[in-house]
Parts: sequence; C-alpha cells; structure tokens
Amino acid sequence: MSTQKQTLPNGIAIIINDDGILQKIIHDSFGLFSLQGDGTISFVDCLESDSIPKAYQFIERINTNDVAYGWELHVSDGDDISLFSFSGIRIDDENLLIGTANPDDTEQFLNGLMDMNNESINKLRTFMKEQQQSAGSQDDEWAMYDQMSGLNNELANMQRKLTKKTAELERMNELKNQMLGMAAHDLRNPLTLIQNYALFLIEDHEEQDIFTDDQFQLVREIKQSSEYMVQIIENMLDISAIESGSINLDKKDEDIGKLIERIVSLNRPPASKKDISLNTNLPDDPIIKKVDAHKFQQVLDNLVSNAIKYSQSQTKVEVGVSDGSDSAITIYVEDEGQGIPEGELDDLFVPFAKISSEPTAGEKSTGLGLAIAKKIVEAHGGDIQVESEVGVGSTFFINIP
Amino acid sequence: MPGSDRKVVQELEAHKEELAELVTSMHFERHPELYKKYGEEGRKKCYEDTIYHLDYLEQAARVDSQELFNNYLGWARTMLKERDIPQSDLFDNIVILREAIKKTLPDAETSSLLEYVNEGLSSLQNRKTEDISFLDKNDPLFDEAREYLDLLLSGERKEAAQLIEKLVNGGTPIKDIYEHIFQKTQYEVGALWQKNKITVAHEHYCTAATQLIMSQLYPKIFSMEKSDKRMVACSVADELHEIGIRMVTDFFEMEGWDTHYLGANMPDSHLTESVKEKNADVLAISVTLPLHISRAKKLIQKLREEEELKNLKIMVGGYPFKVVPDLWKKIGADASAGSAYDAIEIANRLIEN
Repeated sequence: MSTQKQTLPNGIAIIINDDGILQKIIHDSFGLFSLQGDGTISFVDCLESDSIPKAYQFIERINTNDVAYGWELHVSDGDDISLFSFSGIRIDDENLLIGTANPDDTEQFLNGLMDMNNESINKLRTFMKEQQQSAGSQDDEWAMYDQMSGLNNELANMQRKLTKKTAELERMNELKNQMLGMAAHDLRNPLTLIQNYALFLIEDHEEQDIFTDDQFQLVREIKQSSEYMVQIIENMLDISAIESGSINLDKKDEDIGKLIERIVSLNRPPASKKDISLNTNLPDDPIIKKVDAHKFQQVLDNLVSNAIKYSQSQTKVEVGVSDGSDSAITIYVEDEGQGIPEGELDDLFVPFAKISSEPTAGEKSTGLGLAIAKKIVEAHGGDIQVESEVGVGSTFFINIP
Repeated sequence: MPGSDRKVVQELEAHKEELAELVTSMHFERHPELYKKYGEEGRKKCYEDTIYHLDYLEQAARVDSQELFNNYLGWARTMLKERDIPQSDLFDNIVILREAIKKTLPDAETSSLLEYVNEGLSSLQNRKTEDISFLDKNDPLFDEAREYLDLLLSGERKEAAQLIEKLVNGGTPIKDIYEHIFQKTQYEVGALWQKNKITVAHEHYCTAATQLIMSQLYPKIFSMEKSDKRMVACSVADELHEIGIRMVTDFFEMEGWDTHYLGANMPDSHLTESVKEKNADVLAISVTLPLHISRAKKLIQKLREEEELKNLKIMVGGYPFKVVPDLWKKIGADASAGSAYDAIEIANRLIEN
C-alpha cells in the first residue's frame, strides 16, 4: 500500500480560526488562497456570496459538535463557480477544513493527504469515520425522515382519496347523462304525438268550427306548451351529448356571411311582429371558415332570437362581422334591449341559470340555449363573450379563429 | 396466563424508566471501556435500547407470548451484529436487565417476567443468525423486482416508474406488480437496513418513491367494477410502515370492494365515526411494531362497545401477527391474514357468516 503512489484528487485543506480567518494552508490545489497574503484572509473570501451565511453556520457547527461533514458550499474561482463538499474538525481551538469538488473524492483526498503524513488530517479522518457510522442514529435526522415520510403518507392518502372520488364522479356523471338521454327520448315521442294531435285539432277547427272560442284557446295552449317542451328536451339532449363528450362536428368550408343571412331571414317574421328592425352589416367578400354549418346556425339562431326576445318594439338589432387579428373573425349580435345586470353576466352561459331579464312579449326560454351555444363555439376552438349595459342594450361576440 | 400478568405489566410500565436508568448505570459500571469509546452519546443510546427491550418485554407479557420477545432479541442481535457491535453486549445487557428487575420490582411480580427473560437469553444463545432475503429467484417477476430495487437504491425513481409503466402496458396484472415487486422490495429494503447495507435515508426514499409509483396505478384500480362490499382500513403503524396496509386496501379495491383508507394518525373516536359513516363490513387494522399491539387492542375494545357496529368484522395484520399466530385472538379481533390474498379470502368468508 505504501509503495503505491496515490494521486491526490483536487481539493483544499486549510486551518481557520473561529472567525473564519485563515491560519494555515495545508493544501490548495486550486490556488484559491495562495495569491492573497496580507494575514487577514477569510475562508469565506473564496465563496460565492450566497454561500457565506451557510459557511458561518458550518463553522458554528464545528464549534458545537467538534466535527461537521458533507456541507455543500459554492466556491468561486475567478469566473467559475463550483459546488464543493466541505468537512471540518476542531483541533486545539482552531478548525481544520477540507473541501473537494466531488463528495466521493473526499475519502481519496484524505487518503492522499495522509500519505503526506499529516497528523491533523489523520485525526479528521478517524472522526469522520466514527461520525459516519453513528450518523444513522442521530435523533434529529430520524425525526426529520419520519416527518417527511409522514407528509408523504398524507399526500399518498390524499391522492388515493382524490383518484377514488374522481373515478366515482366520472361514473356518476356518465350515469346522469345516460339517464338524461333516456328520459328525453322517452318523453319526446309522446310529446310529439300531443303536439301533432293539437295541430290536427286546430286544422279541423279552422275548416269547420268545432270549438267554442275558449276551447280553441285551450287547444292552442296545448300545442304551444308541447312545442316548448319538445324544445327543452332537444336542448337537454344537446347538453347531455355535449357533456358526455359526444359532440361531433361535421366541419366544412362555409361562407359565414351566407349563414348569417339565412338565420336573419328566418328571424325576420318574429322581429317584424314586434316591430324590431333587423339589419346585417357584412363585408362584400365571402368569409370562408371551417365550421359545422348546422351547429353553427344553431348558435347564430340562439343569439339572434334572444336579441329579439329580450328587446322592446321599435328598437334595432344588428348582426355583423368585424375583422379580428390574422384570419380570426368576430361575429356580433347587437341589440337595444333591456340589458343584463353586470352581476349576472357570468351566469348567462350556465345551464338553467335564471337571470332577472324577462322576454318582452311573453316568449319562453329553456335556459339552455346559451350554454349549448358556448359549448358549440368552444368545440370550434373559439369563444363567446358579452358586453351589456342595463337600459342600453347587449352585444354578444363570437370569436372564431 | 394473561390475566395473572396484568399486575406485572402495570409494575413494569410504572418502573420502566427507573429500570432503564439502573440497567444503563450497571452496564457502564461493568464496562468502563464503553464510556471511553462512545461517551455520553453511547450512554444515551444504551438507555434508549434498554427502553426498547423493556417495551418488548412488556408486550410479550401483555399478550403472553414468549415468541414475541425471542423474535425481537433475534432481530436486535442481527441488527447489532451488522453494525459491528458484539452480540455479547446485547447478552450482557439482558443479563443486567434481569438483575435490575429483581432489585426493582416486588418479588411476587417478578417470577413470570424473569421467565420471559431467561427464555429469551437461552434463545439468544441457541438461535442462529439467518441471512434473510425476500427476493427469491423462483418468484414470478424476480428479475423485474431486482431491477426495480436497484433503481430505487441508486435514487432513480423516474426510471423505476417507467419500468412499472412498461410492465403494466405489457399486460402484467397490477396485483402481481403489487405482490411481487412493491411488497417484496419493501421487505427487502427493511432487511437491507437490518444488515446495515443501506441507511435510514435510503429506506425512507424507497418507501416514498414506491408510494408515488403506486399512485400512478390508482386510476386503473379505481375504474374497476365495484360490488357492494365495503372495507375500511387503518394503521397503528409508524410512518415508514404505513405503505403495507395501503397495499392491502388497494388489493381489496382491485377485488371489487369499496374501500377507504383512513391513514395512521386518526384518533380512535374519529375512526369509530368513520367506520359507521362508511357502513363498513370489514375493518382492517395494521400493526407493524409489536409495541403498538396494546393500542390496537384498546381500539378493538372500543369498537366492540358500539351497538351500531355489532356486525362489523375486524381483521388484523402485520409483522407481530406473523410471529405469534394466535395473537389476533388475544386482542379480540375476528381474524388475521398473512398476505393480501388471504386477507380477501378471509374477509369474504367473515361477511358470509
């Protein structure tokens, strides 16, 4: 062993006093201290400023425990900063420190220094061995590990609970959608029947008076109510299909201007009935976008018919397109209706959320239309927004990328 | 006779610290070289160890199980041997403990205790130290378990997680991964610590990493079809050993049970409430250290007093119940199981009756 020449890994071995002032350089393969020399060089001079408080703690630890090992400090060598592992021991009111760039080198570095037959180093090595052996039994370390494991256990428990709850909720939601779908289908068929029979009665009555006026009014109520119920059911089916993730878009290149014109013309009769003027403001060139024409018209129809529903007579509704950035476009539907209080704007798109604004001519609303519109627009990668002022009017914006 | 031991247990409990103090002074008086070598820290350590010996002696007396004490001494001997502490130290310490008991406790109470100590001493002399390993070449997934453990021991938990993911994607049943990889490597980690091959830090790291990796499998476990059987599990273990009962709970979940794991630190009263609230058919209690047996016993007594829980079946499991096969009866449980598979079979049987 002694004949074998060991190469000394890079490291420093110095002796400092309790204030960190350098007393002696035993070995300094990096030349960290050798260039300075007016007698008051501090150990911390070779460190990055971030590591200095820790360095004083390190010296403090050596003072209280007589030995400290494995402290990582950032050593600054000119422009380079590297992480050193330091160990130290107290010898006769002074502190012997050694530091290596790689903690695994420490042992080898000490062996190398021992070959140089340095007694103090020998002592440090012995202490470190003992310290390492008893390290596992240090109470505070054990307590810390237990604390960490305790935290970890709590996290693991929480994660278990969360995953279980999530799985349960997913199952329940799936079940809810299934039930909703089933109920809606089972209700729709008889309702359509009622709706049609009411229609037959109305037609019969129009051919030859078979009802008194009161009776005829009842039959019309039956027809209107059943139509409304069918509409609710269709919306519910839409929502449950959308929420169970089965919203299938059949996207094709469509001229958005044409879609708008079609919806506007469909809504002209109810608008003129309420004496509301319905205008469009469209660019001359076609605006081609990849959309599902049927679903997109459903969205437009919802916004336009709402604008009419919630506006007083002798007001104006305008549907138009404004250019957005890049190829994005914004479709707007602007009315001069009663407006929506600010606190209720967030609820607008929530299924069945009731708001204080009422249709102006006793029209009915299912409370689902805007929720569906939002989902459809989002499925197209866009979003839907609203600006409103009570007494002035509302504008809905559909942004399509 | 557990009944006649009750007084002796009380005496032992009352004088534990006094006894440990006396044993420590006697030990260091007889072996002055120890103080030179280990100093005040060594004295403290000796005191702590003696408290441990007394704790185990107390538990052995409580449940009337010589095997529990012998097993502990065997474990302690292996642990010390691997740390280069001569086993004569342990032997001497127990001999001194015997003297201290004679000096401190009333005569009438000592005879049964001394019997445990004497038997323990002779078992220390006769028992061979065994080289334990939980990884067996013939086990399914042996190579994978080995690789998993090696990765964890070198701090590569991400790679270990990938290994498990690969196995799951390749169709290895999750139950097999639990049983042959997670469980066996956890046992092995414990054995490696006992043999001084790894540190406490390693042990905690491996456990924490395995918990994290297990949780990746949760979405698969919880999406399985469920029956209406309900199981609640809890643990009176220390932090490091909680993972075992969580694995068992997951096994029940995989068998279609609706399970709730309540953790280790829930006070008895909350636990009783939770068991009621979840309407559990079976409660599984895990005990890892024999020191916690009496806590489990008290908990069971409390649960038995609840009229609402008269149909609840209580199962216990963990290391002490492996060492002492009929221990579960002594603490008032309905059954004990040695493995997760057994636990499910026994639980099914219990609720059928």
